[in-house]
Amino acid sequence: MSAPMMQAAPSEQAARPARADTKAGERHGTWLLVREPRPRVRFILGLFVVLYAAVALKAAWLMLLQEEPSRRVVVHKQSIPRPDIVDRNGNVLAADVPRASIFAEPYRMANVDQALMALMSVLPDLDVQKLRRRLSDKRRKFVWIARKVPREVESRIVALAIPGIRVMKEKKRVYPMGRLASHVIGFTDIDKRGLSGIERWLDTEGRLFMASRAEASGKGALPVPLALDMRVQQALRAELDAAMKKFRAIGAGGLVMDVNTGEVLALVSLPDYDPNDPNRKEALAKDRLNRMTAGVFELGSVIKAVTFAMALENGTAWLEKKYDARFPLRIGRAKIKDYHAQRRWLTVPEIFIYSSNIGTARMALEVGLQKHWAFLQKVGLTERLRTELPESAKPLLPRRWSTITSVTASFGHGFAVQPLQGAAVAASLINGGRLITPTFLKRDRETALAMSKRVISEATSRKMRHLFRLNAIEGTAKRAAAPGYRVGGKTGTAEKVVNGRYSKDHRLTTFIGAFPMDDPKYLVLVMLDDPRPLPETHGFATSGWNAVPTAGRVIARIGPLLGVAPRLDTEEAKKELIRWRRLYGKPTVTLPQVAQSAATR
Amino acid sequence: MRVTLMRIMGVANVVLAAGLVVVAMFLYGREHEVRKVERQIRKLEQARKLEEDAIRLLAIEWQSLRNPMRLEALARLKLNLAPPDPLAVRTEGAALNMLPLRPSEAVEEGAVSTDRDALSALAAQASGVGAPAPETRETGDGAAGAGEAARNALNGLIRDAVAGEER
Repeated sequence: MSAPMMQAAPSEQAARPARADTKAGERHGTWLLVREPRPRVRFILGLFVVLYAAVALKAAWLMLLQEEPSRRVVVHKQSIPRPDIVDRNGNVLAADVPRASIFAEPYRMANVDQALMALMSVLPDLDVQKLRRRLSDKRRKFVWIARKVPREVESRIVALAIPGIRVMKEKKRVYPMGRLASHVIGFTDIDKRGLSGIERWLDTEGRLFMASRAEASGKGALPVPLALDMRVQQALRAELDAAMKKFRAIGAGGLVMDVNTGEVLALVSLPDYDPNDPNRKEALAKDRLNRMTAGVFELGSVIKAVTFAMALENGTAWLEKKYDARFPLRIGRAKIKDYHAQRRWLTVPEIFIYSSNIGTARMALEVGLQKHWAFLQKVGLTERLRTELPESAKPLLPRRWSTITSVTASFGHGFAVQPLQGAAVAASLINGGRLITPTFLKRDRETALAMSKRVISEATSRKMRHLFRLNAIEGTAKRAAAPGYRVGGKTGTAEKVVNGRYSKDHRLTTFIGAFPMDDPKYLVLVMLDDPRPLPETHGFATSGWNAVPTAGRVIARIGPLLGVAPRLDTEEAKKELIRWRRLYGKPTVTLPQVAQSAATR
Repeated sequence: MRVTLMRIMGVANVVLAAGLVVVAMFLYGREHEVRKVERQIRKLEQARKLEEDAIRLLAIEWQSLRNPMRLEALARLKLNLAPPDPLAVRTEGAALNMLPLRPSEAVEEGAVSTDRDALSALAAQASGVGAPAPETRETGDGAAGAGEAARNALNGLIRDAVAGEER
């Protein structure tokens, strides 16, 4: 633009001085300059110098300093990168994928109807009436047309090049695992703010952690590694789903935890939801809360393990000691009865495997009211457990701590905790006595050891392992014993409160177990909400008939995945195998065939 | 004084005019060149971004195809597979134990039909039954014999385990 002006200017300039020249040149014979030019000419000459300088400056500024105007069809949205979430093996659980959103700038639009027609050819589902109203309002600067559209739509819109319609490059959060780990990962809203689960944690307490994953360039971010193992998660979810259908339960939950590090390898709460559904209809439904952390439940007899550990640690009980379980125990007006009543003196292991309320109550009474409360406090059952998951519920405790509440609490009645909390405490009883706060992030053994808190001695922990294993060999947890995996565990059946009263027909069945019991590595918790009795369970619906076999199937599936070798050479393992065959029949593919075909191949 | 000033201004005028033309032409050419290169860069950047986005989308798609929920459903439906039977699980150590011994080691122990003996002992040990491995038909020596023996031992082991559970 400046070039033609510049070319024109010199000729004019040359003409003017030349005219002045003709008069001055008569006296001095110079051709260019006058001796005494008229002030007007001087002024004009000066003006031209200034003018040229200005033109040169403007040209330099235009070419060197000013950036080209940034009004393009496609704009990029600036945002803090949200890290991918991966499981412990690097499988992607949540990721940002590039998506484009279409928006309009009504004040720049020439013809709204034409634009809408063109848009309709690509996006047939538009609400034309609403958009026409909005786009016709020329004061508006910004109107969304469609958010996060697929690639093809984007390129077609760009190709249309409608004035005032532009494309914004955004990131969409997707969850490739779908509903598999929905309760742990959580989800974000359309503007990528975390709304639940780990996603929410990253925006709140985990903000510092998230920032630490961002790359210095600000463009990307390192993934957040969770402790979850998707293979284990799937095994747990599939078995829980099957059990929930089989026993017609209204809900189910389960988790697998590393007892030495507190890492949660799998956590399932059913029914779950699809985090990829943009409407979140399922996710926001009332029954979709995370049963493992956001709800508190009476774990029932599972809590007896805590009482046993306390009594053994306190020295008031030892394995050979016998307790009178002949008659129901009267405390005030209450009467403590046994479900599997033996009506005789029971040793401590017998109390455990028959899950005797009377025996457990007597053990708690021996320890005493204050010490019992102190122990519950020590193992953290009286306070809200906080992990990375923002959904955490406070335990429901007896309002007054008295003899009767202490006694009922000893066998798990009258106080409710998060199942994850119960699992953490059970892990501490068998891992050598160290209470470790569970985590959903990867953690190594040293860190776990450093942050752990001793709650019982190694010796007591060994006795607890013995009791747990014994219960799976000949007690209520027999059906959990996956052959060869040396499973140990405790069952619990709590009556659900219906209309303010404990109901006889609605139960919450729980199993907490660990394997291999000679050197416990993994803890498995299974919980079924209101399982119904079936003909094949002989009309029973207690934990031993539903939660326990479900856990057994889970263990048989995850044992090989987690590198725990089954030992089939013991007498117990053979008995377990026989029981297993009775429960599940023979494998459809027989082994010699497999071996033969493998050898001949 | 005035004349000098006028002369300087006059010369400056001419020089500036000429200079402007030269500089303008030079800059114009340069700018043109720069614009061309910038266009090129933009195009390449755009192509790179598209490729990166495509790679990312494909990676995510691959991940969703590997979703274990989907894989399990497919494996059950199309391949008629199910979670393994407890007996089907063999650990690395167990597999190693089933390998025949090296001939040199076996000779040191002074046995003749070395592989088979060692194997039946191992098999008995592994199955915990203590019975000698069945199927001790004579086979040829050498690698083929060893393979045969290993297969026999494996089958014996399995039969033992199956027999054990049926008892």
